Amino acid sequence: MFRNVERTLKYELDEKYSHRKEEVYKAIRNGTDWIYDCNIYKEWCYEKLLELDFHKANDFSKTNIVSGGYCFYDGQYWLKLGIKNIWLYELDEEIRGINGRLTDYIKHDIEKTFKTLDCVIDKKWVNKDIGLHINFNCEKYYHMKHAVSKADYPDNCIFVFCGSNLKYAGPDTPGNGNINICETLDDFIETLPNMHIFFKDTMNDKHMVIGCLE
Amino acid sequence: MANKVIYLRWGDRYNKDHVERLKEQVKNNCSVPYDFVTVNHCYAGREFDKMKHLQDTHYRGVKSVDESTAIQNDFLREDLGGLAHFQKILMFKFDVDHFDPLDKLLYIDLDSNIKGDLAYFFNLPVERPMIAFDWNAYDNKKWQHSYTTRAYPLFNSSVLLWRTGYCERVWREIRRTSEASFYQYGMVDNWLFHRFGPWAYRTTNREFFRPFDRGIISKDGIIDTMSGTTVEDKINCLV
Repeated sequence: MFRNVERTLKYELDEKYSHRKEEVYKAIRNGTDWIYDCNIYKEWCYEKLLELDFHKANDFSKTNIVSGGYCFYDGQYWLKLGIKNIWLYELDEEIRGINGRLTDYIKHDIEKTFKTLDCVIDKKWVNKDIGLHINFNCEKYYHMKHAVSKADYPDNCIFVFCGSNLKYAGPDTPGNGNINICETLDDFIETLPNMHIFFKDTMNDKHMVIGCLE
Repeated sequence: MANKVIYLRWGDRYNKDHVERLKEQVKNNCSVPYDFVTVNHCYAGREFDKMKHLQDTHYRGVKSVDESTAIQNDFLREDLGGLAHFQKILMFKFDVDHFDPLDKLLYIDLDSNIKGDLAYFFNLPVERPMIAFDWNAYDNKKWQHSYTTRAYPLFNSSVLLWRTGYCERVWREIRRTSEASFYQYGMVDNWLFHRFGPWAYRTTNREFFRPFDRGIISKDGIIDTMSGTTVEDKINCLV
């Protein structure tokens, strides 16, 4: 894992993604994306799934992750959750290449597929044959109730939706690019498909809902 | 096969004088035969009404959707939704009704300044639709950093060149995705860039538009657009 970081930062980022090097460093060093302290929310999600033992009762071997950002520490959680095949969806094409390197250390355990797409507008191309679907950034998209429908997914598929109330507050601030802002957790639930909810809470400005589609 | 110069006029910002201004500029700067035309269905009719309804439903700003700039309601302009200037996309539906196959269609914003011979555009082969392009942002890679915030589109729809029917794919794309597109995108350039730019998911959409060469659409080029300037600047320029 340590060699993996060294290889990624020293070689791959130097050559192809040098303009991204600083933000990748920050993501690994202190968990911040270029504007956003994202790792604490990802950790919250993964820890909660493990704490609630969903991975024991459900088959997470096939998993979707939307807007995961830089995924370095994520790989360890994916292994704990029993993920064998993962589909990572980003709008940003370069994250795809960088994540390929950052998660190189799990390449023998998890098969990764990267797709550069919009999970709402391009929903047709989001994999439906899965046991777990996580969207870390619902605030950047149209309401999830229009993007995810029960008929498309297996009955026992677990969904995790994260959104926030962060508004734009200047360049390079966390609310930059947020369009679907939900002041309260209940407001956020209104934007989601009908769900049987197992867990819902707000940490700082971030809402998280875990459940099955109804 | 004929050369057509197209303009669109809607809202209150521009009047018939502005159309005459553009017409005069084209007349003084085009050494090949052409027709100067408008496509009226872009701001009237059933398809327009449907899109206008979506715009009214999803626009999150306070000021008029076409006049909006800067920050409103804690949203950046590009995050306000409403797909400002969607009327341009309707050209791609109705061009087949107005023009003959293989006609070359050059769309120019009313607030543009024409400084060189438009024959340049009509002499291009136009094998694919073409669009004005922000080469500076492309070179400094600023666009990649801001891509997920829907900011800094490299595309500038102030100048477009295509042949009749070539852009039907764009029309199909907006029709297929209209509800979410009007919610998620504040301006048509950002939408075009995400759906048809270098990172579009569908390979058939990726690189669909070919950029005009460096310098062609610029202050010292053939056409100088007012894209990225304030409403006040645009109005001053037209006086």
